[in-house]
Amino acid sequence: MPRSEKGSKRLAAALLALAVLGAGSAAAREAEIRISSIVVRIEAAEVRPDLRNLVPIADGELYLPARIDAAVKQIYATGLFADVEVLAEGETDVRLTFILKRKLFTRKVAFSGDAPVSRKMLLAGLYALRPDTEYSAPRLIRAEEELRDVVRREGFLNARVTGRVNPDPEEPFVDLDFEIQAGLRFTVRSVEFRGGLDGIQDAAVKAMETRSGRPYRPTILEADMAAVKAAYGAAGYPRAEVVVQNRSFRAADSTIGLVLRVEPGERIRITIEGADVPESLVRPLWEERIFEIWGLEQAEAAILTHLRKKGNVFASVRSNVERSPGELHIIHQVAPGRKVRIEDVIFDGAAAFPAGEIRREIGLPPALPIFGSISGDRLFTVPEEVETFYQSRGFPETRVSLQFREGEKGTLAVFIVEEGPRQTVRNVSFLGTKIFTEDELFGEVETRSGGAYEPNRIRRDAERLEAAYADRGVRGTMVAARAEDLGDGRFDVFFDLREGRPVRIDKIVVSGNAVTRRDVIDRALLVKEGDPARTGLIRESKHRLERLGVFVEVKIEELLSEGGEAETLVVSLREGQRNYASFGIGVETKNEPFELEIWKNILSPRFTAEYIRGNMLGRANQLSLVGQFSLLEKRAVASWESPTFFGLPYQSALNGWIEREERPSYGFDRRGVSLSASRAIGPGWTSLTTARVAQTTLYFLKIAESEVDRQHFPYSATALSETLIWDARDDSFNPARGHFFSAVIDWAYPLFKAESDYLKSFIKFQYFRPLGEQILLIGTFRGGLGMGRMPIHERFFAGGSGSFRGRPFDGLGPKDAASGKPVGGKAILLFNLDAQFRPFVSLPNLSLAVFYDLGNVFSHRSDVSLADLENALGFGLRYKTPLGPLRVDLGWNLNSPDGSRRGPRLYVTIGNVF
Amino acid sequence: MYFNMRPIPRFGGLLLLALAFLAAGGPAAAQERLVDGIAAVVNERIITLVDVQIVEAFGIVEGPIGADLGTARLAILQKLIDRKVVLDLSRGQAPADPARVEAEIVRIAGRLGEEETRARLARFGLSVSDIRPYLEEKLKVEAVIADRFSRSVPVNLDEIEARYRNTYEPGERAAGRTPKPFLEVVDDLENGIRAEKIAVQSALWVQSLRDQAEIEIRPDILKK
Repeated sequence: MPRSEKGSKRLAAALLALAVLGAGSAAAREAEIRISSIVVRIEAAEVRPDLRNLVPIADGELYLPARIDAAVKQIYATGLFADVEVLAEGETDVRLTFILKRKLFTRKVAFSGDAPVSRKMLLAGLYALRPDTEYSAPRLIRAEEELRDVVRREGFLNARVTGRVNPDPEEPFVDLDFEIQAGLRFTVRSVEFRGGLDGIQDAAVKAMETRSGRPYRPTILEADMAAVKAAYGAAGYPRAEVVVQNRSFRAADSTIGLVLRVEPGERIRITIEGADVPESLVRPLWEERIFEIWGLEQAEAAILTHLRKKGNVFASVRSNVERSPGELHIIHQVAPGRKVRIEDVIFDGAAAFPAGEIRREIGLPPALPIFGSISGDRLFTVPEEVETFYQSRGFPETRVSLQFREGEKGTLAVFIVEEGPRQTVRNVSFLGTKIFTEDELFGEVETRSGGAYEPNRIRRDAERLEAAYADRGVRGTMVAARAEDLGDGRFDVFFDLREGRPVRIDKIVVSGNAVTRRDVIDRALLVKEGDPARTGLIRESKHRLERLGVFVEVKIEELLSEGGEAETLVVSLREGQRNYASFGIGVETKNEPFELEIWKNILSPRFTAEYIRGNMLGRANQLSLVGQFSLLEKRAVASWESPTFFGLPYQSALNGWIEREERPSYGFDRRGVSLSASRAIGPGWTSLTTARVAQTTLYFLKIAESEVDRQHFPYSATALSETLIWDARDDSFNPARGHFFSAVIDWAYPLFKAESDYLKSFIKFQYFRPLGEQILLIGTFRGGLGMGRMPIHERFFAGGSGSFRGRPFDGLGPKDAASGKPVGGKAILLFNLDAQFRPFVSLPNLSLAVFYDLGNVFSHRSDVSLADLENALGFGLRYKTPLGPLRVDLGWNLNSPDGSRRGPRLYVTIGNVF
Repeated sequence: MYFNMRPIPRFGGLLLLALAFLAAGGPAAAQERLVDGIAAVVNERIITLVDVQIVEAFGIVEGPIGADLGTARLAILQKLIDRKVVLDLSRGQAPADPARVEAEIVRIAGRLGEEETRARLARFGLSVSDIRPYLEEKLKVEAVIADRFSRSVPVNLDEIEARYRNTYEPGERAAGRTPKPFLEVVDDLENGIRAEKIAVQSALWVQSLRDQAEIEIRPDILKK
């Protein structure tokens, strides 16, 4: 055999062996395909190593399509991405690429073409895609349909709407432009009515906008038809139907003929005999076809409630229905009974709880002269409320009934309470607990040994326990509560716990922060990688991010890993607009309004302009520029606010300002700079520390000059102040309950050649107490003391609508001997009491008020005397607005010592009194 | 006996070597392929390509016979979407009967054979319990439709008679069988008519649900 032949044979054998071996290896490798690496891309271009944590598959794991599918679903569930695709490369060592497409949001919506409808109307009819909502192709199609419908309803048929999408190349936003081609419009050729009753619809038909010669607009036609229906309703036919029976379009002259059919239905006549009850109270019940018995019951309940509110607590009603062809006659015969005013409420038979506690728990106000103790309609709901109160305290069989008794001063409402036996808890046990101690679990529940047995409370305790586990980072805990009846009114309560698994936070992924820096977000998060996944802290972290004021949406999703012991926290954010501008215009009077005819007062305009730029430097800082201009004051303020203070968790603000203000005794120019830091120090408590440098120059002075009170020579001050605030009101602008406390100490020290040298303190306490539903009492105390060299612009002043309503603005306290102008003082005491009540239930925002003010300003601390306090009494109107109440007050000074005008003085202002 | 081989040139040998190596499944050929993606979004919940592949592989949903891959998968996807919109309506209801789910699994294994079933599970990296959710979904939808329509679909005698006359009798004769008397088959005919009516009504109902739902279909992914 030649050498070349031998070589070829050897080669063939080697190839054969290799193929066999290779095939065998391939088979072995096919049985175990592994993932060598995973890459995450955004929009197929940008590799994002930080988002690798979103994929809960580790390098080296087996290649399992179902596992990859679970990862795709988990990524989509974060809500961050509109699309997820997974590509694989390689056969045995597979490289996976996850391609994520960001969700897009609508930014601007524009309309073009010959849109025959106003932009406002188009936007009002567009729901599928509005600014700041998520964009998707199906939504675009729906938006086009909605806009076509808007245009059609204005009479433009066959309109064409084409939506164009302009994506932002850098940000996940799209701008939309809808091109609208109007389509055909038809003119009404004729309107014919069929059916109906003569006389009833004539006026409505005459007033119809849809008539021959006018453009056909479905919205207008609907309104016309509703007016015809209303005419029938007013004539006693509330069930009348008006429908379009026929529309005939004529293309040749673009006209439409309309045939409207009227079905009057039954006439409904309602008679209420025996009492003055408006028919409008019960008529709406009969507008639809209802079960008559149900309708009568509802009507009787409405009539009785109406009468009881007016004091006819003994009222009764009998009702019946009479039918005749085409008419339903509903008759209510009312026996109103005598009117009573309930002087007081007694709980007879209530041994387990004092009457005061029952009253407090069910919210019964105290008995008041004139107003009585309780309204008539509320009387009849009290028995059920008391029964519920008893049930919650372990008395399941309590029954309460209402009786009346004549007392010495009037009628008493007596609630006869049959308490029944009490059920109590003997023992509380926790079964299956390993992670936490019994003592820790007892701290989470309200059910106690020896306490009341109340099934609802036990159910709530089970939920609390589950939440407590989640708050400690344990997921999947289930708690079942059960009770064993011991037969003697006592129960043993068991909480069966199936504890879940402790979960820790493996990774935190943040997305959506195009401007905001990562460290700002990390500082707001109360959890970090490696921490237990405590739901309370995660929830609070979300609130802290929202409070930064730079995000319009904050979502935190928890993605559990395969083993269930770790999770990835996905923080998805949407940043908001950063620029705001506002402009305000108003009117002020130079003096107090001395005439009720407002045009006779001296009025001048008042302007405010503000510009805010948010999220400066990506650190949630805010720059604001404010300008105010009016006759009495001009001000320009620049502020830089930050959520931190040199890295410390204090809200800080650096302010610079220039201002001019005119007061009755003086006018000043001031420029200054201040730096303040505030922080919450407890529930409702805030601490505010401010350092200030300012220079004040009096440009006019109407009192005698002194070392500190001098015209034209600047007075410089450096001061440090500390304020403590405790705000427990339910609403800052229109509080209806709660209280407010503040204490300030202001120390002005001569630093940097400043001449300020005084110490000033001021406290304020305000209390809001509702009495029943109609009355609100507001009490306010203010007191201030100062010592040292206090210039006029730092002294205390009072008088006017915000402090003492018996004197003009700044008019309370010592006066200059020569000019008679107020000079202010180093001490102030003020006490104000307002009683507001709503006289008309139909006008809940309107209140009448009676007020009493007591106080004075004193030159020195040693001059303070209660005998020198002035009194003012008056009344006024309040109207609630979103910015606080609009107040009109008339006040009389009861003991003005200097013989000044006692009143009345008129005060008009907005905002709460103090 | 010798194989009388002509001498193989050197480059040819190298070529053969390379071909053999490749045949043995040597270094993986670097080709990017789609593994998974979103095929549809229904009221913000997704149906993936793998979902479609799984229900197709185990016959949980069947596509039209003879259609190409894309068309068959699209038909399967549409059925999965129908299920999603129906299930959205029935959220909060009790899960499917576990016994019926097990019976479905047994039916699938019986149809495919044990070995093939195991192979298909392994292909997707699934265990038997992983296909339960797909079967539960199917059974729950059937229960919702049965609950909604079965009680309210009347079948009158005229329809049954017409069915007997126009469909049953001719069909039996064409198949070479003697048609049974009317009374013997009336129940079957009634059930058949009712089932058809339910199918039509439920299809209309499901379509109305789809009209109200937010559905986005991405059919391109099914062809890959």
